[in-house]
Amino acid sequence: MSKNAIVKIYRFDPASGESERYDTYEVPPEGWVGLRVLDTLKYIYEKFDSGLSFRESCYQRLCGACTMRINNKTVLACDVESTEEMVIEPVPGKRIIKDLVVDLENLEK
Amino acid sequence: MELTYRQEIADTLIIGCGAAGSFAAIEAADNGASVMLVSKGLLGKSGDTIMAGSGIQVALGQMDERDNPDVHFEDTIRAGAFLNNQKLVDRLVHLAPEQVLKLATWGAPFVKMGDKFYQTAPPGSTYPRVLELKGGRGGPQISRVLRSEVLKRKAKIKIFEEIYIANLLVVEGRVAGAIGFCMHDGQFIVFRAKTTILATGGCVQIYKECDGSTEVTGDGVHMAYQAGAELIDMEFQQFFPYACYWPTLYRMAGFPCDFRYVLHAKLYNIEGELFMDKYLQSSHEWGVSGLRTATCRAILLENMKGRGSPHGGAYVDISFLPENLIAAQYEKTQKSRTIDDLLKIGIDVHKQAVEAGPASHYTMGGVRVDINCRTSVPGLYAAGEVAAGMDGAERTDGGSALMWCITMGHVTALESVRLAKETDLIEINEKHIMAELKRINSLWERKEGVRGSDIKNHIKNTMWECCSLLRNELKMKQGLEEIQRVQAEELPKLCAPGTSRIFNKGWADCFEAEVMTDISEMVLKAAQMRKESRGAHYREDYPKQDDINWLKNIVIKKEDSGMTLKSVPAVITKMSPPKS
Repeated sequence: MSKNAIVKIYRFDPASGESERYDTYEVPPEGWVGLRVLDTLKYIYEKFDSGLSFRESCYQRLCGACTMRINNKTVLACDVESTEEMVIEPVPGKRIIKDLVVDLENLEK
Repeated sequence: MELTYRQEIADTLIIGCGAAGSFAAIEAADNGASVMLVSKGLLGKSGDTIMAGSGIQVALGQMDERDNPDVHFEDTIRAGAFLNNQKLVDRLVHLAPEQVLKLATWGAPFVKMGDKFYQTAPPGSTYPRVLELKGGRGGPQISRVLRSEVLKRKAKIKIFEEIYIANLLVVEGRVAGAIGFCMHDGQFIVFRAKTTILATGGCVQIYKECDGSTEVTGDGVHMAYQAGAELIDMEFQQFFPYACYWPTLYRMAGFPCDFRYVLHAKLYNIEGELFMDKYLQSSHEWGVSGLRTATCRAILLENMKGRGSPHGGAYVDISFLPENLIAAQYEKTQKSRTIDDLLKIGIDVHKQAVEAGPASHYTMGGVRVDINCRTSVPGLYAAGEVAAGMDGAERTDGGSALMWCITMGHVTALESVRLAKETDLIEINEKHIMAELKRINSLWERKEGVRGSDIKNHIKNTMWECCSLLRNELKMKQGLEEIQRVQAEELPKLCAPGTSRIFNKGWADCFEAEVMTDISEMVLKAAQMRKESRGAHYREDYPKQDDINWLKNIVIKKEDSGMTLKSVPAVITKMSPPKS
């Protein structure tokens, strides 16, 4: 029997006046076992937190829109399998639009 | 709260930034028009162009000089089971060589053999016709080239990324622009232009199993419908048979195209039987041998008989081939991303088969256009998958979509340049804008009710069950009842619970839920009306193609009374169907 995953996600809304924080979610096996991190984020968005912002597009490692930092590595969230403990953060060094969404304007020019 | 908006003005408004939108923007800018290129996602990083696994179909005759646009035309009409608009197809396939070769001059890395372009022949093409691209799948390569060309023309093309267009603005029957909101700040924008080009792609996301991008929910088709434009062929939805079903990490990744139609990968069931022959021998109603949707149906039928693979698909296999043959093809196109990915998790296609199955892949139906890609509403054009008439009942396998995008991008751009000189901007009444803003904002204001994402998932399941590969009256009736229940009971309760206006996914989901529900109604009604099987549309209760009664397109239009459907004779000008 798989356990629940503990997923810690960076949250920041520049319009709210509040400072950045981390929210922690306990995700049951159906939301993470054998799934991609992007699937798990979508699960959290659909089941627990409709205010969570992240980018999703191709789910096939082609578009690069879901680039983010997972357990201290910059990766595509659709290219990495979810694990029991995860810390998910935006790509470092970019202006944060909201939560995991950053301004990608200067990326890959 | 007082509703405010900002206004953007140019000659041409292009909605959607895949191959069709980007190519149209480049061509319009190069011919003197000012352009606004608006996209729901990121330029070159969203939509279905990046998903294209194949290359570009164009009759250059480089591998076999017998190929030419006339043969290309005939192959396209045969695959489309004679429902294509022959005037449109004839024009586009003849324009295609010159337009597609522009990509080569911009540095698209087409595979060459000596001084010639390497072309392959997928099922449905009489001669090798698909230009393949090096170093990856065709879609991402073409996206990269087009993005870079768009960015070179930034002085003339204003780019708006991550904008959700909620509706077109129609003034006295003419499209005057569009209204939407920016995901980055939640602010409203009114775009005003002399011509509007829809380039938003198809509706593939209405199905649960889908290998397209999440953005491709049918927005442009819905916008056109709301504006009063005619739609056609909505019953024809293509499914792709080789989407990986397992492992989950690579779900929906496409098995490389050239491995299928150059190396002739085998497809067998759990008993090791090569089952396709059984389905293809029998009769012509399966369409051109081995076309995608027919293969999907065969996989589904094998599963219903308990002979599918463990996760509901079949096995696609190249392990019987000598390694050097696989290596040679790999070397030629370097297009084996899925193969490399699978190897990372221990699945070696040289040694074992891969579980693959059907996925919603392409929309043949869409906005009805004439040979100038004009819709039935003045000021509104459509290019690429959002438009219809090019493919008829089914597409030829491999590379036709990008060809339509490029060629129609060219045609719509020239039209918009012409209109920019001939017409003036249309004034839009402030009351009209305010009424739209209120409607859009009301979805944001409602914090309790039904979430758009829940409706979207429900629609996807319903359509997969009731109106995908094996259709019949009973299932479709149940499907339509369910869709109409959602429209009556759930859509009025749509809500966006997130508290921030910035990148509020729930807000966008509300619009997509409405769009997907309405599109599903269209697909169901058209599929119910067509009492025959043809191309991608297969009915268990009407399994035969009926050329006597159904050489017709079904036209959908919004009237005061609601959604109307009528059948019209197919546009057959050059090539008649064989007498059966």
